[in-house]
Amino acid sequence: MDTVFFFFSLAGVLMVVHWLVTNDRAGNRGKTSGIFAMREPEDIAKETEVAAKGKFDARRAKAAARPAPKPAGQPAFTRREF
Amino acid sequence: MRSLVLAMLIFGLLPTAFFSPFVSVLLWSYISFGSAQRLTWGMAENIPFALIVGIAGLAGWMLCERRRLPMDRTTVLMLAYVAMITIATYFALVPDAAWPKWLITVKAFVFVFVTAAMLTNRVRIHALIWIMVIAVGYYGIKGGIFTLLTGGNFRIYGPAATVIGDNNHIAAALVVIMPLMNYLGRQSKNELLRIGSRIAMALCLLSVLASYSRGSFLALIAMLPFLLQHSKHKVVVAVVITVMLAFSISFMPAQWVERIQTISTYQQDASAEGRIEMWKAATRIAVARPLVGGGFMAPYTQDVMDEYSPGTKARAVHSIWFENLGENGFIALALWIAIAVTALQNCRYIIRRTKGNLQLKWANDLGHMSLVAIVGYLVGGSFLSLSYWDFYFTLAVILAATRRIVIAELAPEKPRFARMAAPRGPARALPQPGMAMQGDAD
Repeated sequence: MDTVFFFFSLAGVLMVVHWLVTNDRAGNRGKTSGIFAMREPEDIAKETEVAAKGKFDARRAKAAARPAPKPAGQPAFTRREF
Repeated sequence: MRSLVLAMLIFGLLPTAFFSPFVSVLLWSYISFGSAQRLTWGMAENIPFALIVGIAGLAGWMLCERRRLPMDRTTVLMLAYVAMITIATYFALVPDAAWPKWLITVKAFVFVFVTAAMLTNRVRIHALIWIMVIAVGYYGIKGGIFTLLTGGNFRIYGPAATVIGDNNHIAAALVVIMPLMNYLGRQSKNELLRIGSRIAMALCLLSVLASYSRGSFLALIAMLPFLLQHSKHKVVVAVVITVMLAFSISFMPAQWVERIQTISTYQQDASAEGRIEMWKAATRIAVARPLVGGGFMAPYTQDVMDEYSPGTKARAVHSIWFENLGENGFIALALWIAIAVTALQNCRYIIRRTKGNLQLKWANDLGHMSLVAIVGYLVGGSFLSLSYWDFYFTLAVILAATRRIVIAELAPEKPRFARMAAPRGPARALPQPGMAMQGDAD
């Protein structure tokens, strides 16, 4: 078991070295690829958009669950409701 | 078998270091931080991997990369610190023991400087953090699984005869890499890696507890408020951490609880009392020799103890602060503290300047998590002899490099042929009668 972990760590080192050699030219703004690819601004923006959409949907569902406002011209309470 | 595979990996990747010199930095970091050769038997145990990779790295840096050492505050302070420990070693009380330790420390610093010179982009920074986490995290993941299987009845130790060999030291190292694992999880596009980093953090947490290290337990507790403060989803993180801690602590056996409870009754604990005695002894040496201290290994020498602190048994100082003070004097301690303060300032700077910037989100995450890691090291290290741990100095140069990248990325772009493109008229528009001038409204 111990040896398996050791080989896993060596495989990890090999993969990181391979990732570095293939992505070194990406620099600070270029896109990275491969197993250790970093999240790009587009990915983060997309996730933020999805999260914001989720919040918006939740707010809309909450609003829909509320009783609809009475049409204009009607009293706020009928005698019965009061 | 292990020996053969490790040797094949290192020697197989060495030629790569000549056309991509940063590979040697990665290999050296892996060997230095994880001491992989200590996990092998046979020929690999006796091969000086670090030296071979180090020479290849230096050659690659000088011949292929040719980048100058960045003279920022971190590098200058580190150079001054190295100079100061050299002077302290020259005047050491036990030169025969001091010079070998000086050599090990300076070798580590030389490669920290090579790393600083070659950390030029975010890909290199990211790859280096992966290597740091793999090198040390190996012990955390393995230890965590071992703890789960054995119910926490056995202590976790690092690789024998290394900086992180002791149970306290490996625990402190794991405390430091946990936030870095979180950074890697946040920044990885691959979903498996994101989940894997969380699992690895949980296993490292178990390993820290199973080390039975009280200092690291305190570091863990001290780190949590910072982790919460620097997390995006504070409530979720707080709930997850509480559940994980509660589960881990309830999982540990009664002997662990007894051990941790001795924190509150440290006056009755021989180990804790011995540490405080050593801190006093280190201070006495420093007061007697304020400029240079006692030199490396002075507190480990009984003759020195008999002279400066009679009645104290020579042993490790067990504090990064007092170790520096006793061995190298007040100036070296001040420089060491300045390096730590600079690293923390770099974190704050990176966080402040990259807030809300999607392009530099990686730097923002790194700043947040490195700050938590450094706090963990400073608190955990207060009870350990880990002053010259190259992992920490590498983290400091990573932060300095990230700061440089952030400054370069946020600087307004200049047109390539600015002078040629500029109109040949007057440099500034001359004020015309009736023209509103800046400050008129005041």
